Amino acid sequence: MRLLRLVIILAVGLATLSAATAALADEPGGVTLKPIPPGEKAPGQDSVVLSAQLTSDDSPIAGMPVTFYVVTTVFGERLMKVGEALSDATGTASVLYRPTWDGDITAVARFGGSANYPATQASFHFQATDTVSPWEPPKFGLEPIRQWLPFAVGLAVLAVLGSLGYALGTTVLGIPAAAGRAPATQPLPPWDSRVRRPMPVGRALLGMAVLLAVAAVPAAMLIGRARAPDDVTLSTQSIHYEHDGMPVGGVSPGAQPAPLPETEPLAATLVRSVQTTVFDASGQPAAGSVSMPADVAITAGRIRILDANKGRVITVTPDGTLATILDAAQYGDLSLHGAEAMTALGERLFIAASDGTIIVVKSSGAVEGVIRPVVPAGQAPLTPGGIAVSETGEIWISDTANHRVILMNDSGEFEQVIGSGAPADGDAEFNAPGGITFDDDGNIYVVDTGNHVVKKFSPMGVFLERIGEGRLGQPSSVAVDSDGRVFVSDESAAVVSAFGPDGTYLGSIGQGQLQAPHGVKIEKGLVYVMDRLAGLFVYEAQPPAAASRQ
Amino acid sequence: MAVAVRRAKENTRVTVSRRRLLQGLGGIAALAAAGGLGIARRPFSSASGPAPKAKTKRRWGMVIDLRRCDGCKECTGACQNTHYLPNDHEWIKVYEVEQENGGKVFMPRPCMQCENPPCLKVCPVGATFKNDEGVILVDQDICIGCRLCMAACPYNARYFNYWEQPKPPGPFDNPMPEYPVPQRRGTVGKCVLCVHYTQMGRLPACVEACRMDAIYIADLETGVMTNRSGETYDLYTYLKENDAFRYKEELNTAPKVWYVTGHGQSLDG
Amino acid sequence: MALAIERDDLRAAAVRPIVSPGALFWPLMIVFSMIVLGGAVAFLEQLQSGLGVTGLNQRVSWGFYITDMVFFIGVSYGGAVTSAILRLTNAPWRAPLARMAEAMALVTLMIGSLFPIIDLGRPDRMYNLLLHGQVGSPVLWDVVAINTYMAATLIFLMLPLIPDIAFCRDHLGPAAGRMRKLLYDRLSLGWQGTAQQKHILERNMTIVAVTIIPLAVMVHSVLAWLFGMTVRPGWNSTIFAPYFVVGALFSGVAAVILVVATFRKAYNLDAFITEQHFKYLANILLALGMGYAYFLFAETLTEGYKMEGFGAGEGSGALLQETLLGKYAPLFWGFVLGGLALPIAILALPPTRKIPGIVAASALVVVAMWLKRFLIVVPAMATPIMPVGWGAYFPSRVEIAVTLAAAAAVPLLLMLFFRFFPIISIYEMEEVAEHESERPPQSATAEVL
Repeated sequence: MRLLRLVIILAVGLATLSAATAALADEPGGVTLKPIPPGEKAPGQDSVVLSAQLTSDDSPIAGMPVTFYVVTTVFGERLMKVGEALSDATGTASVLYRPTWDGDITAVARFGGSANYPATQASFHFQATDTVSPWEPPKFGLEPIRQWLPFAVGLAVLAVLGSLGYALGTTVLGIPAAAGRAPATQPLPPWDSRVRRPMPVGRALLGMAVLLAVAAVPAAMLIGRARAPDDVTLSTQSIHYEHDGMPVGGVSPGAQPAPLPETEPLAATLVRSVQTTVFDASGQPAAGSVSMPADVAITAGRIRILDANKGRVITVTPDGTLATILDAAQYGDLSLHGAEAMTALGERLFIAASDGTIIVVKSSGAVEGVIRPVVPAGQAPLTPGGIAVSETGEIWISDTANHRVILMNDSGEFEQVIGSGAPADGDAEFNAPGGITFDDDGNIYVVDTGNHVVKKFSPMGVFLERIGEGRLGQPSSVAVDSDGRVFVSDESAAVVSAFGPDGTYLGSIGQGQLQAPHGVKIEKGLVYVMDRLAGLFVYEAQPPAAASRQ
Repeated sequence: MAVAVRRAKENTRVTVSRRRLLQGLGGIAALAAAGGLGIARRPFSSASGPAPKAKTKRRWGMVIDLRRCDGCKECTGACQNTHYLPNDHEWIKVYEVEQENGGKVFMPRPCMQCENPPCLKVCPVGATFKNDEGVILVDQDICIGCRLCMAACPYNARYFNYWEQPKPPGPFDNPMPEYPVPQRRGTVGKCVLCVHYTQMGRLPACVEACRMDAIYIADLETGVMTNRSGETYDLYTYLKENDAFRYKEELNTAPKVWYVTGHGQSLDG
Repeated sequence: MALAIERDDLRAAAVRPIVSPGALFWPLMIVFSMIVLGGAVAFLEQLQSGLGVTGLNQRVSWGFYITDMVFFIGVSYGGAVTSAILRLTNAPWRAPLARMAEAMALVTLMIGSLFPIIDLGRPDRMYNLLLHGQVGSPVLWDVVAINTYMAATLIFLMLPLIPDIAFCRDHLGPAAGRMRKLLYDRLSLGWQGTAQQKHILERNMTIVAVTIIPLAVMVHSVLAWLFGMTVRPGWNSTIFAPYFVVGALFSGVAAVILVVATFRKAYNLDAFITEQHFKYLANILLALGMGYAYFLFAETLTEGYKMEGFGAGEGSGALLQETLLGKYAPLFWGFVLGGLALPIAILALPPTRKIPGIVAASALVVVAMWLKRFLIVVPAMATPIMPVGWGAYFPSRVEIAVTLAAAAAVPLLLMLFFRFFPIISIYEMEEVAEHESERPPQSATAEVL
């Protein structure tokens, strides 16, 4: 067993933390759970004792269950239960834990409460080094023999080939060489005259060629019948293949919406377009180019593009070129990979990273800070698909894989949750929500991608209405202009569709230009569309006064 | 009452770390103090610095709790949707095992990601390979479609593309072993344990779709197993405590999918 | 088809099919060509649409094509037996049969080795076997073994053919035509029959004969291991390799009997191939048949005694139940009775041990062995290995067309072959006659020649 050395780092800091934690955990008439940081361990031990002391007003509470967790980072931050123990006479509960990864480990002790005492929780850290993974690759057996067997067989094959080659070689070379006078052989008797003359080989081959040509006609007909299964009928439910009139296979790509009506154009002028992604010969984003950017935001009058695959934020300079303002690789411990949503407030950008943290970036590109969501125990980590930030410090996040929308404060604590966590289509429910935005009145618009609709909520989170029903295929992002028009990017239709304040369909922009529109933002009346493939497009939609729809 | 769980800083190779370390700790202390005193905070001023994210070595496996599985087959559907598969390709297939005393046990069977995979051994062109995280993948650019791997797999976990597949919508025309979409005609496909998701910290499609939270994704290196609702356990303890077993492990395939059954349940057909 | 009566001269008889193949030659060629063409068209359809045009599915992913592969390659073993083994054991009666047997071996081997390619999902990527070949894979062993064996068979056919070609070059005259003359000039390698040339030939024939026997054993063993290296019920058997080898020899000798009987009739070779030849072949066939029956019995008894997995509806027990008493019972018992019991009886009992009986028994064996290959491949794949029901397989018209095309290609290619090369190995006949004349002529075999 490897020696596991546990080092308490910066005891002062931890002491502060414990003290602060203890202070925070204190409640009037309540219970304190004081973690006991693990000390130095003896050589040869690979486990650490996690313990905590449960007291109430300084007197120990015995016989209560305390559960210990360790924070894992395999899929975002999750609490992994490592054991449960009853507190002893001194109120101390301990479990043995064997760390399986190096680095800083956060342990959490939790008392679930009882009839007399409220629940409480405390955490502490320790460093783990030289941990040994419990996993060992299994052996297959017959080790030394299996290494050498291919060689032995190869030798045998070579021997066989060698002897065959020798036989062939000496024959082909030796026989002509050994030609000489030979004993005369008896000639054949003359052929009977009744024997038919044989058909010469040449004419025989010609005859067969004619035969093949004649047979080619039915053959071509048969081949014509052989069709690849491209008799594809796209139905609302699934794609069918047929061969010889019999159905085979079939694709059921989930619940598809009913076929959408044709999009109608909304009068709009293309003010600007910026090519962002350049594809190389193999169809991949080229080395220096942006790679399928997800979102766009405008700060300090400049366009900022989220290039999550390359881990950076790009800006469009006044002369139209692209420049990197934030490169996550510069920060050894920052990752933008998988980030889908970015929004701006004043001079700041807010990027929702794939593990739910929000990275706050100044307009210069410097990272100002990181907000970590405080996911309540037992809940899944956030999978943000959209972010919207209000001036009062409220952060609305679409938690896509958990089918809900969360309001967080700037310390990451959840203040409100809309949605049950399971995919559904009720008023306050979602199925894979995506983009989220505010309008000027503070109403919240959430793109409910799985239900092909945009849902509008009041600033307090009360459901108001559905927008875009029956007109959206795969909506991803939404933005609202000062006239109340709602612009929704539709990835399957490859357009940005606009709806009036009352939900009527106004038209779509970008037909033929957009390929995979994802992010939509409105700034000073211009519609900025971030298309993953085609780049950035800026449109000026015709003012609503000209379109006389009610 | 929940207390913010903050990770202390780890020494990284980047020079800024020490400064951020002190900043961060100072921030935590300040927060703790401020929180304790109830001082109102300006928006976003309390954000602490970025935290370490080293790439850890993984070894993926699964645990399936058959006590919970109700045979809804959402996992099958989610996988087929994610990879644009035809109906006869069930990379995770839910078997219905009749029990002697009546009733059924449902058994989802993904690719077992064997450590001694028979499919890998018999592939004549090496199209089936094991990546560095222990996941068995198929390179459909190399596969010649001989189907010996299908004959060799004791779990029937491999599927052959008898027909051409339609092009999926969107920018998905770059099939690779990690995300073999669309499937290529004349080659073999199988569950890839959604490595295209796990590499960016997302759960595999079936894990995310299982509404009974029965499917866990596990990392054998760190011993962490978790499901879509966040239930996280230490893998080895869980396996021992729940009498988890691997299907047909007597064949020396060393599969990495464990099953947990209830009392009296049997997986014999 | 009787032609003008020729003198009973060996060499004349041997080369007669080259120049005057008979009235039925062209009609038969046309018929066989049409069948082959039909199979080619079906295969083109498969290339265009994918393997989905076959009856294969996710449960039973090997069917007719793999059956055909094992069958045709197995049938080619008749050549190995008749030529190589009998040569090494100095059995003089093999001489008139050798050419036909070797030619048949080559033809069926070539056809059989096409089937793995026909069965591939991506035959356009065959070169990957060279670029990315994995030494641990039975398919790769198969590729190496079959190609090596094909080379050996070709050499083994070619060596005694050289003197015969030289004979044709010297004596066929204008009857052969210009193209054949060119062919003979080239391929005879300047053979004059000198002692030194004969020495080279003899030595090399011995080398190849010795090499080809273990090679033949390995080829069918490797073919067996395509199945035997899996854990499927019915395939997970340690005796699969010798089982397949004996089965191949069995079907091969039966095929040799059929080919010899057919061409003997067609080209009036009664003088050289007598009933005694058939009796000897019948003895070999009988021995091999009993050997195969023994293997079948041993396998069935071992599986049946344990009935592994039967309670769960899986495993070799379930497979055996279906094979003996269930869905596949008609095929199985048809094989046992029609392909083993009846032929063995016919061959063993004196009243039926005549040429018609022997030929009939051989025909039964050939057909039944195809059936047995099917019974090896498909039911094992249909057997459940997970808790689910049985798979099913029914061949599509594409697979049937290709199989029939392969069957038709054998006589087609053989007939074509004997339009160019002597049907009886003149060289070997003369060699054996010399050999016999050196011995005191009291053995019965001397009468044969």
